[in-house]
Amino acid sequence: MINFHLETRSGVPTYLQLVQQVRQAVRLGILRPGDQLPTVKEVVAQLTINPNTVLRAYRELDLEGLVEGRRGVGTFVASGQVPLPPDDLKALRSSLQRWLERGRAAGLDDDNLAALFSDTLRPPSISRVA
Amino acid sequence: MIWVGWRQQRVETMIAAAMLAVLAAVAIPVGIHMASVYSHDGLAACAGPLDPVCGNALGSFQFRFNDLNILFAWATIVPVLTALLFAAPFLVDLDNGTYRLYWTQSITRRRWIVTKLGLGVIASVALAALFIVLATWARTPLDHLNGRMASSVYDSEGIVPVADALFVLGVAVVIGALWRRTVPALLIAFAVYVVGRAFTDGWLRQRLLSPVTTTWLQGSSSGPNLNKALVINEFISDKNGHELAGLPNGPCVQHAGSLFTHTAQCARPNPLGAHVYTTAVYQPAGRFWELQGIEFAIVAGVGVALILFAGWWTNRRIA
Amino acid sequence: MSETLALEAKALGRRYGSNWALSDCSLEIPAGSVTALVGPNGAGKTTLLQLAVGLIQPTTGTISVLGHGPRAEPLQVLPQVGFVAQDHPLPRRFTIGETLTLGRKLNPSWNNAIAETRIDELGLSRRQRICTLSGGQQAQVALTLALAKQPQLLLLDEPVASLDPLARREFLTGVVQAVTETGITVVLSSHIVADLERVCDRLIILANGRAQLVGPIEELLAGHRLLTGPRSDAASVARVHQVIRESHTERQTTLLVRANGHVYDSCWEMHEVDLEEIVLAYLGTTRGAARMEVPAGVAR
Repeated sequence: MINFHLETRSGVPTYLQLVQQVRQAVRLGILRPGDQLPTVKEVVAQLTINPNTVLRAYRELDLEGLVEGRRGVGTFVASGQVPLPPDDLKALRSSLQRWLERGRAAGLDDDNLAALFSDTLRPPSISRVA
Repeated sequence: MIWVGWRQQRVETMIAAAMLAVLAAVAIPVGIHMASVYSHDGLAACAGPLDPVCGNALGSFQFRFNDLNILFAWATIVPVLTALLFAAPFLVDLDNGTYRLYWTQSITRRRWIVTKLGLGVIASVALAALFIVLATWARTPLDHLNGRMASSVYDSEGIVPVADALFVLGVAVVIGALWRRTVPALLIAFAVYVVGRAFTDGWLRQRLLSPVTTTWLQGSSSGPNLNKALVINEFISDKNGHELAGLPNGPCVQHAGSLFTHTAQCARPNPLGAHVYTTAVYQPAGRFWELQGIEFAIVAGVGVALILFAGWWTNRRIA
Repeated sequence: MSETLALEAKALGRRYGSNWALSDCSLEIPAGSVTALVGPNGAGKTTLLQLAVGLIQPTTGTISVLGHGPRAEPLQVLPQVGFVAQDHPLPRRFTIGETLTLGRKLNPSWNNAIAETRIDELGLSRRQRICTLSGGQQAQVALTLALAKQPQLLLLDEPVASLDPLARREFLTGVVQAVTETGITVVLSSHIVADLERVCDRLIILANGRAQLVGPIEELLAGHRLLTGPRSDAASVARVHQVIRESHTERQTTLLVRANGHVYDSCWEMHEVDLEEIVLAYLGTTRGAARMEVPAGVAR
């Protein structure tokens, strides 16, 4: 079972945060195929958000094929989701750790490291329009 | 809504009942005692205050139980205070904004108004009625002797206390409907009552019906019995009822309902000779119910009109 | 829902003395939506909600709730509308149980099971007196009264204004749970925009007695942009887009615009805006202008 959390100041729409958290959980093996996602009622009670937001997130996940809704029962992680093999995950994690150590040794603080990472990951697309 | 109305009035009802209970606790024992003394001493069979045998007995009886007179003179306020209490639930809902709760349930505003005011009216009238019963019963022997025209008696028996209660209730709810402040409304209503009562007792009541004017030879026994009447004026006059001026002393008069009986006899010699008359302007005792009825119609009429206006105003205007 | 519009106002106006609390206000609230009603004090939020529930009457224009006029047909409207007035008035000397009885006696559509379940879930006892409850608890009781009559529309006038953050959260949870269970339409007026962003899907900004901005929150967020650039005048931008607010420093100009299509201008750097900034811009507060510094960190 996954526990959602909300970052109100992140600028990311709520439904998208839920989607991302489910994707992340599946990738990391926290949610496995057949696991049930929290019901709309549960998420609403936990996060105090509009139920439509939850419905939208689950619909999005359904369209992606990540989850499937079973009427009257709930929403479940679809089969065929293969999380990253734990060995690969381990290797990636340790190389990331080494990168972080190098960055810190170079004098970058956490904010700078995060900025560098997200900049490289997702170059700003809407900052400047030529 | 009736349940809601009664529940909101519960504390006020208990206070009002307590007030009446305290009054009863004092008045009932005295009343019982007085009644037994009255019959035991055979005072009912007394020929009257002029009878040499009973005269003294009556005098001492009156003196002994005068406290009850004083008690009920003050207690005429009880129906008025309880009417103010019963105005409070209506006023408070408008004052503190809880009307916004009641008027957004599934009842019409009119139903709320009618129920609240109706319960206030019923409670006030009921309490005034009980008060009248208590006062009338307790004072029976005294009323027998002194009549009921004196204001402290008149205002606590008959039907006028009900009118007073309705009047005060009306003033309070109208002020509350227009101004929406509870305590000022109650205080002003009480003040208006005090002024109105002084006005009625001192002036209006004497004129509700044209008073009777009688002239009789002073010292004779052909004069009217003014013991139980409401005497407005009494003076020495000539045969035609014109007041005689320039007399060294005033006429001998006492007013109805007092400690000592009215006497048409004067101990002083008559400087003008035998043909001096006394003229009295008064409301006879027999007019008690007639006067009560007229006063009730006026005062209760005003009260009910005010209550209806308060209800109408609240229904149309409140924002 | 029998009506697709839960509430419709047409040129609605209400005057107090010489002051127009609402003037020429027209808006629509679709059924099933959760709408935030935002605006400064005296903007007309309370007036609008009171007009909707029939506590006051319009001076001009019309308002129709679930297809009926609230003042003209109170018995059609009142059972379908749950209303919690500002500072949640309740009979202070009553116990909670007596307050529920009040609800039962005054509302034919009352469902006592809903009321009792809510009270139990809140951890309250029926024997507690209203005056002994905390502000948050009283607000919850008032909400229970409004919900147990099973209305189609819920109108809440600044229900959380005087509550501490935990009580606020719990109250709003109650509201969204009701929306989840019954699909009820909600109009919720408040100062606190952050709360509303989680809970509401539509926004109405009321200022100076008029509806300044109405629409789904997502569209509004997508349609407004913050433009920063070197000091210049807004005229060229204003020709295409609606400039809601502009502020200038010596070297920099900041514009908050409602984009009419895409924003193409090599001079301007474009950023997204959050709901609170949009609201502040429409309300014209100088506090908002001070915040329009160069945005920190990562592009939103």
